Amino acid sequence: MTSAPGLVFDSVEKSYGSSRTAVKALTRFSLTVAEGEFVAVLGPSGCGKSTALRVAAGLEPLDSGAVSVAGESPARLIREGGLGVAFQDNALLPWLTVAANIELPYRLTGRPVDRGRVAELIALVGLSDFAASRPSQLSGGMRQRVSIARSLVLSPRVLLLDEPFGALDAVTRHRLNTELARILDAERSTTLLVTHSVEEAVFLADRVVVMTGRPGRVKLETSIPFGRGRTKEIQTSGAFLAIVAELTAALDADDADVAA
Amino acid sequence: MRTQTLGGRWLLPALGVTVLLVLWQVVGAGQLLGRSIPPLTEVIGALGSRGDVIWRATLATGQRALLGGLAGFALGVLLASVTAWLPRSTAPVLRSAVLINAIPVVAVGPVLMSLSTRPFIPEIFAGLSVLFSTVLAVSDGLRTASPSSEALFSVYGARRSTRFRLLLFPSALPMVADALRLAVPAALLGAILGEWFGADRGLGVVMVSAMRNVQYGLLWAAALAAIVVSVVFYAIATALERAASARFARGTQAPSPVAALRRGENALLGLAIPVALVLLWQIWVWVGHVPQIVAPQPAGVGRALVTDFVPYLEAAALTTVSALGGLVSGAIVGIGLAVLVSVVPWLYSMLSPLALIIPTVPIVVFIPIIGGLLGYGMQTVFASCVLMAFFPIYVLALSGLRSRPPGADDVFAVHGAGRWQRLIRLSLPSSVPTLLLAVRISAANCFLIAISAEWLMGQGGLGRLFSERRVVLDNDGSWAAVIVAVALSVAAYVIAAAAERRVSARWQS
Amino acid sequence: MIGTRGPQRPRRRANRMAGVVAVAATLVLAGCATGSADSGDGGGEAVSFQLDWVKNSQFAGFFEADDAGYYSDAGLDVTFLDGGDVASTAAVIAGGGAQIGIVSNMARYMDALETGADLVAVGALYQQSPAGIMTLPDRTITSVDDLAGLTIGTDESGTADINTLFAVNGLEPDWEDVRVGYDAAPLFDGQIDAYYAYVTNQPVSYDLAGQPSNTVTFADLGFESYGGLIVTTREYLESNRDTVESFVAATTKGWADAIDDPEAAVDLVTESYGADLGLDPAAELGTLEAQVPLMTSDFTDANGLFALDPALIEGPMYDALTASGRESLPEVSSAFDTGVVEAANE
Repeated sequence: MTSAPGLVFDSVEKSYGSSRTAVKALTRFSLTVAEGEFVAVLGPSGCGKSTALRVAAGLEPLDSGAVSVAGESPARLIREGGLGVAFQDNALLPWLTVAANIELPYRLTGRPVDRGRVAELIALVGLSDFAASRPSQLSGGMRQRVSIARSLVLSPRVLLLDEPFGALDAVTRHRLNTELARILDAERSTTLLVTHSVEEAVFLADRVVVMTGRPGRVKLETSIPFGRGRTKEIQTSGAFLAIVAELTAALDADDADVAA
Repeated sequence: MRTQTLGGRWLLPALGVTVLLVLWQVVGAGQLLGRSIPPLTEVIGALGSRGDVIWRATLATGQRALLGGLAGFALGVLLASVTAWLPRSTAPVLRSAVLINAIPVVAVGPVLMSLSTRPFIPEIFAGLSVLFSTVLAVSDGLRTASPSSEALFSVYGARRSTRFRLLLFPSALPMVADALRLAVPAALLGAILGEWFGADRGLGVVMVSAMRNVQYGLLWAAALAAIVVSVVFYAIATALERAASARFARGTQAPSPVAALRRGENALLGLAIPVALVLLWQIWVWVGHVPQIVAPQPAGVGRALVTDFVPYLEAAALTTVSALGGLVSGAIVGIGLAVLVSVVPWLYSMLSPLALIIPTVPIVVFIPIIGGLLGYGMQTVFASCVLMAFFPIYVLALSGLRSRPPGADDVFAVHGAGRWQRLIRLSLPSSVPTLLLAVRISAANCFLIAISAEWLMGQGGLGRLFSERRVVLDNDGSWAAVIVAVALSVAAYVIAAAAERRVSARWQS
Repeated sequence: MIGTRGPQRPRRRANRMAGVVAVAATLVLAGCATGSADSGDGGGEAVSFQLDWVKNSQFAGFFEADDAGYYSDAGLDVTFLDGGDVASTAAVIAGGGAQIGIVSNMARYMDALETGADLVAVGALYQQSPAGIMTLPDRTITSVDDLAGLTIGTDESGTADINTLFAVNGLEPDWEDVRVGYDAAPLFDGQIDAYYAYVTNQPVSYDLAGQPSNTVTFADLGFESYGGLIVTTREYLESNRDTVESFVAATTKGWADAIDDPEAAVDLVTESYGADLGLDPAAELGTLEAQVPLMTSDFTDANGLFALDPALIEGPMYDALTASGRESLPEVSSAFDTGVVEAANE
């Protein structure tokens, strides 16, 4: 683990709704992602893991506690264009071409478009033949690759991925996981991935965090003992399967807690 | 119905039109519905012999509707854009639009006639008629960007102008085009009504002259020309709407809720807008030295309301009965027909050309004809309201009946559900949100149409009261009737909107 | 919002769009080309004259005066403002939208004065208002008693007039009011017993269409009233008396021509001034011919067209207005200026 802090949540409290009917989404949520580290957050649905990501992206104000991204406030980092995001719903603008969608962050941050960089990312996600296509002409998996390319185009210091493959079928998802591992090896960013797929988390992350049911707190942390440059073969290794089993059990226990 | 055969596409609609035309000829020739409906051949004769007159009138009216309508549309888009720019202004802007829409144009006509606005009355009416639906639809459209796109723009710190230009406006375009489509018949009707208050040429002038001179052929020829212009403009707007929907991917994203105001602010706003309008009115009368015969002062109108409280209350009650009764009956007829048509596909094909024509028909023009058919009195007012409410409800009910949750059809099929079970347990419940939208649109307009009908041929109600006071130049009294009507109309809209919010919250997944 | 549709084949759509845009452009251009028509000859003093209906033959004399150059000879450049909204003309004149105009009857004029409008009537187009009652041939109305208990179709101004008719005759209103608008069809369809009409208008059209009817004016039933008052503001009259006098003088000449040769006047109306209305020449001629007897009388023979008779106003006309419930009527000399017609006929 590197020492410089990439993304730090410090006792974050966050609830939604008016004071009377408030729903607590996060309570005493603390987590540190080191610079260049890839952390995946797992948890039952509604546990507040997406809220954690939205807080880091500066999309939600905090009730109390603090979040710093690369030593700065999210707002500061936003101004510098230092954040990248991808959502489950790919958030592509349907009236723009693939290339124009990937260029969008330049325009939003008011920078000159680096066409070489855009072409490089289109190539990296394997869509060179589709640069002039519109999202409606692409498959779901291809759209998600555009979304990933867009999140990386500014070489963000911190990358936030909210269930990026959640809407895809299992086969496509597997393939994109492998691709994402390859892409992120080329594009090193501090990365926070929110997912409900244990396999995905274990395959991609350096460290996996399991959250409790609502209100969300960190319940379990596991370092993944595989280095970068992973290939799909590791998914059948005994070590991989053991970690998956352990984390799945932790998640199941949580479900039992909720039921009780 | 899925596979559109040649018969479905052309044969049945053509058959529908033919049946309609033959029916018209038979009714007209036999004078089955009175002498005010001439046979089709007489109308064609008038078109032939007076083609030049109709052509010039059509050009004049079409041009006014186009200019005024586009100006009103542009203003509507602009106002709606303000709501996107400053989300907290959404509620005030929408409410002012509802209020302005509720003012019957017939009340504004004499004022515009006395001012320098006189040469542009048709254009102004056309513009005013489209303003409301445009602001409403476009403001909704500007709130249809997906939350994740919004988040994306926030994460990159996009400026407001960038967000508007690159996200909000493009995603609103399908609804902007929708608004354009809704605007077409409204603009044309506005222009025709405006011509009645003074224009030397135009379909409105031809109609009013022909009506009084018993030139039924000419009257209907002018009405037919109005419908043709409307259909042409409507086709243009529909083409634009389809292009926008395809290019800018009309999403399934429902508009995000209007920026909420605190309870106190809400009440304050409900009070502040009318007070501000009354203040503006008073200032205008003072500064412009507007004589009482052109426009009264607020105090005088208030006095008229207080001294004649009971007659106004009775008139308001009668108008409310017509308007709401018409709305409910229109809803029943509209939903009934939508259900029938969704169960009997060939009927749908046959009626589809009518579905194109009816929204383009300026209904007010036909109120006298309804009077001829049904007699003169409340039944005609009521029927006009039914006709007015029926169509949007029919269209939206039909689209609602088809917007079933994905996969639900299959679930019903697997369980062997029959046609009726599917209708009652699936289609009807899923159409509730769109139906409520239709009711909201019709609620305010219902009062307007009730007042117009009462004004033209009612035996009572606010429209009749307005007309009686107006004709003796009692402006205090006639404006008081208008103000009561505006209040009722706004109340109907607000109640319908609240009901819609309440119910549709439950329908959201 | 309405009608969600899937994507379409783009090529065909593009063609269709090009087509519709072309149609729209043609409409606009054609509209512009035929746009500006009757701008005056220029040069003269601009006067806007507010008519109380669309440009049909009931205003034939005004158009004659314009066409024959009587207005321009008098140094006037007259613009005719028309409108279907009869009730608004007084407001337009009082509000400065027109310098001179027609207020359709005495009652409306008194209503206007009551609002404080600074108006003055300088003449009357009709010595006897054309307002009256139309019935089927089998019913003849000779006195107000014949109207008792009938169902009468009215337009906006009919109700008050018929009530006044009863009041003038010392009777309580005893009739059923059915608001039918401008069309007398319900009379022939048997929905009403009588119809409030301008005897110069609907009866003529129906007669030509092979539907004869009986008519009677309100004056015949004891309710005397001028029709078509020529009105201006007192302020305008005081500072532009010459203009108003020249206008009335030129108009008198125009009407003399129209009365002399009604066919020519009707041609002028249907082919020029009212060409955009699709008027029926035969009906327009009938209207004009029915109108002339109402415009002329022994009094106008002696004093000129449009002449106002103070004795008649003060007597039967004010009696009728009083009977209709009006308590304070203005001094005749303040509301009516007989000097304009006198000067015009010198």
